[in-house]
Amino acid sequence: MRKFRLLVLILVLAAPGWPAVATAAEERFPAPEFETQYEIPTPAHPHPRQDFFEYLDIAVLLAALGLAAFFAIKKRSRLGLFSLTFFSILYFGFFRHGCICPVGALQNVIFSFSGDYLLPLGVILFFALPLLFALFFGRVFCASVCPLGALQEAVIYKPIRLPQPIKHVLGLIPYLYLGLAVLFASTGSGFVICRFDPFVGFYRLSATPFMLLLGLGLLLTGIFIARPYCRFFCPYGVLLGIFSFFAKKHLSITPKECIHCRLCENACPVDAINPPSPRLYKTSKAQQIKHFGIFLAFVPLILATSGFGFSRLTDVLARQDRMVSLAERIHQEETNVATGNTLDSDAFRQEQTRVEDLYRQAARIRHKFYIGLWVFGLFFGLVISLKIIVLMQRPGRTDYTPDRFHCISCGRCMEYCPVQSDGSVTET
Amino acid sequence: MNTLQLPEEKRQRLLPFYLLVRNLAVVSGCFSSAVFIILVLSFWQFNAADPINDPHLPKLIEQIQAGNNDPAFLDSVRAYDQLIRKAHFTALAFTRFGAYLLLGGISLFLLFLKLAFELHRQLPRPDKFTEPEENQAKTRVLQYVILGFSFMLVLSAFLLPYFFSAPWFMPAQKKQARPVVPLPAEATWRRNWPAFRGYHGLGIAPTQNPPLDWDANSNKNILWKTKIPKPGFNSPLVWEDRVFLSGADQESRTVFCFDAATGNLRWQKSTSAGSAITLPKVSEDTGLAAPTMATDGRFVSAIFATGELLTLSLQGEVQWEKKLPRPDNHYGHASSLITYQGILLVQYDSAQNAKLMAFDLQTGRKLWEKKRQVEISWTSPIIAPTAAGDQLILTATPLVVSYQPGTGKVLWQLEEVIGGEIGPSPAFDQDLLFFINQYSRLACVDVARQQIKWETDHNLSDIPSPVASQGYLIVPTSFGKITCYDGASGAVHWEHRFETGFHASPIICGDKVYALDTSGIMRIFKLERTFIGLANPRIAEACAATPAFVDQRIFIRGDNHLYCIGSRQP
Repeated sequence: MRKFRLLVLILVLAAPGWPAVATAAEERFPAPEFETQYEIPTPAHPHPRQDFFEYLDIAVLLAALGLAAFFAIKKRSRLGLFSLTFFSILYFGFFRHGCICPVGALQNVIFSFSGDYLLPLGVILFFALPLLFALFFGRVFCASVCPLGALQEAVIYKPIRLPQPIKHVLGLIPYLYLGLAVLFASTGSGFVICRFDPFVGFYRLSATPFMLLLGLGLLLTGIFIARPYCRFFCPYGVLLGIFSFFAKKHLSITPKECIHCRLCENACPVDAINPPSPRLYKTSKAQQIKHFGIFLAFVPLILATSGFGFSRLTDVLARQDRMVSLAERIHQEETNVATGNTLDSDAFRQEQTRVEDLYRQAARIRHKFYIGLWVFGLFFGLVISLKIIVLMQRPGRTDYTPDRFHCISCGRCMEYCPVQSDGSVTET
Repeated sequence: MNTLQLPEEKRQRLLPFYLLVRNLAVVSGCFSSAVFIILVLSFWQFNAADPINDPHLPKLIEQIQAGNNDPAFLDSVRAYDQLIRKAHFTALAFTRFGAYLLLGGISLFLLFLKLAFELHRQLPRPDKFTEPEENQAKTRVLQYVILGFSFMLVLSAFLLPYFFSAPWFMPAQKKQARPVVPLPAEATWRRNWPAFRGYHGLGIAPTQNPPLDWDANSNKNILWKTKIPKPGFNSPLVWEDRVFLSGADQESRTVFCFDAATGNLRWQKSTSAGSAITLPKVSEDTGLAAPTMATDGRFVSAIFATGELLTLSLQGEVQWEKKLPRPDNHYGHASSLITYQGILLVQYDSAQNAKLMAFDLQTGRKLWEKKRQVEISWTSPIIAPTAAGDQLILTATPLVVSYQPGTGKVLWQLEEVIGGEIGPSPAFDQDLLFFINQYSRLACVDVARQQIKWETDHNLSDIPSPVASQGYLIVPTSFGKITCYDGASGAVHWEHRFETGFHASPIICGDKVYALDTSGIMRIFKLERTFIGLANPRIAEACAATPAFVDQRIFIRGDNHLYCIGSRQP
């Protein structure tokens, strides 16, 4: 069995990467250097996806979300969810090449507020439908519709539980990533989620070596730490988690009353099952309120420190903007700090735009980053404060229940529960 | 934790399926492994051969370049070139095919493996449930870890620029108060053409006797004619020796400055967005550059249907630029700009968030903004010199509003007095305000009492604006009829039907009226109680823009050319 697992490991790691390596090979063979009668055809730009496919994609997404909700809540079928996962890999992954996905659509939505970009209907729905379903049925999108999650779902073989401190620290990363993605999209500087999408390269059979390694690394990690991208990176997961927290109906571990058999205790690969909370606490209610009050007094300080700290990154991050880096390059060339021209600086000079206009534009973008980073810092400070406040709470849970924020509705826990829908208990 | 097997009966029932999928997993795994090995070997062989960098071909090409044109040799080079191309593309096709095979094999392998795991699942054997206890220390550790990590993160963000980032390449520019450029004298204003329909937008020319006769075919009295680089329906402005107009297309939105004496293009300046902007949908007869620009003699401003607002010095240097929210306007934004004592006034009656904005022309600072509860309009503002002082008058369904032009304070307004999609701008004469729209009404307002004095629904205009002077009100229409009213009573003095309609607004020059029709014929008639036609000179192209009148010269924007008409010096 060990050899068998080793074979699995090698193949799992090698398979998705191979096509990407293969297609990275040189395809633009130089044209013949001697004259021939052959006319080399002008390369044509690929046509945009036809409207029909846009509507088909929306219909398939809607159907997949509906099915996922049906399997998770009504049918309570892990097999159904699992089958849907493979369908998502094929359709949303390989057929649609992973684009546009709701995770990346978040940036389109943010960018549309700039006023220079008209948001297509397909993008709006791809962004909104999973959130809408999360509001009613929990994160069923993560369960088996998301092509990024589905790929990781396929490699969960030996999930382990991370120590709580590590889990909490890593759990802060999606908020940082979300903040950065919003910052870059709102300043028009780029779509970082798409640029650093570790799995889309597999679906397109084309990726840079760095992204390929990142993707492979995450899949390797995913064998032991289930869904690492979903849990510790995905910015859209933050939004889904918030919506899922208020879900009208959510997947439940047991269909009836929990019998505290503890079978499900370690069933969740993403560690999203909350055990019953203590009925008696050593600290008094008055003490707890006092601690809460003291912490609340510190919240403005946390917000201000975070806002100011992150605003210091203005220059570092603003330089990632194409316009700003061009302005810096032109400035270096104008002041003889840099010698020679780059393709970009040559192209800029051919445009005959005034250098002062470019500098002014760069300064405007930098200012946007400054404001954006202050907002980003305040947001992060708020997240930390809320996390601490949540840890101070006494939830009063009596049963094993899914953590509505983190539960991805994969349905594994349901299989472990011996309680049947009629209330009877299966002997194991 | 101990584990517990599935019930024996269930295990036995699932056993054949388990064995089947396990064996299938082994087969697909072996197949994938074989494909993988073949691919690796092939890749290694392909890289070793490296046909794309074949060292022989460049040498053969060098021989050709050196003059070896032997046909047999050339054929052999071609054959060799084809051979290595074939080797390259065959290897690529092989690799791609293998990659797809591998992908398919792995997918099947994972599927069967997953099923095998599910069918051979082991349930946990947990300990007995015990009542949970509060673990205060553990919770506190978590809180400290979160706070500590966050603090380290913020600290890193704070320190990072010190160690890993070069200083910002542009030194912070201290804002220096720019010297205030003085406004030109009132007399200079009055002799120029600073806005749509001239000084204060009233349609009264500063010149008394512009030419009555010209002809584009014989070039009679055509002082010059210049091609306009980009399309637009806005009217020319004239300030001293410069003529300004704007044009726009998908590529850029541009201001053009021509020499008033020669017609030569002095400079042109485009907005900074260029083609990197989403263009609004506009109708063909409105376009992207319908609003007429405005100048205060120091700076010149232009606005486009994209919401781009550009202010330049008279020498063409960008003074400031703004991107206003894109107007929600189904024909395209068309309201012209106007200036008042160094303030640029922007009527922005968009479907969403209609407003009137005032900007400092020199700095671009927004001075004030007034929300307007109106529908979309295509009218332009006028400054009415009433007995009580200057008033900024705006019309849009359903309001006629008078603002204090310096502060934006609403002085008075008439509600529910006009309807429809309003194009014509109001007219003003002797404390009487006239507003009009097709399918609505023509009304005269006594500005002192803020009451409608008279109204009619006869011969209403949809595009050209009326003009009033010396007690007369001239109302043109796009279907060719012009009506002359008595401004005070509303009595019709006369009405006359021309062959062609009007889009340009008529201009009064002393005792004469100049009305340019859509075919390029200038209908010139007396401002009298009876219709007395004087002349019908023409240019050779269609016209929609209102001409400018300065210093015995007329500047006409045709669809493609800008004309300067004036008496040639003997």
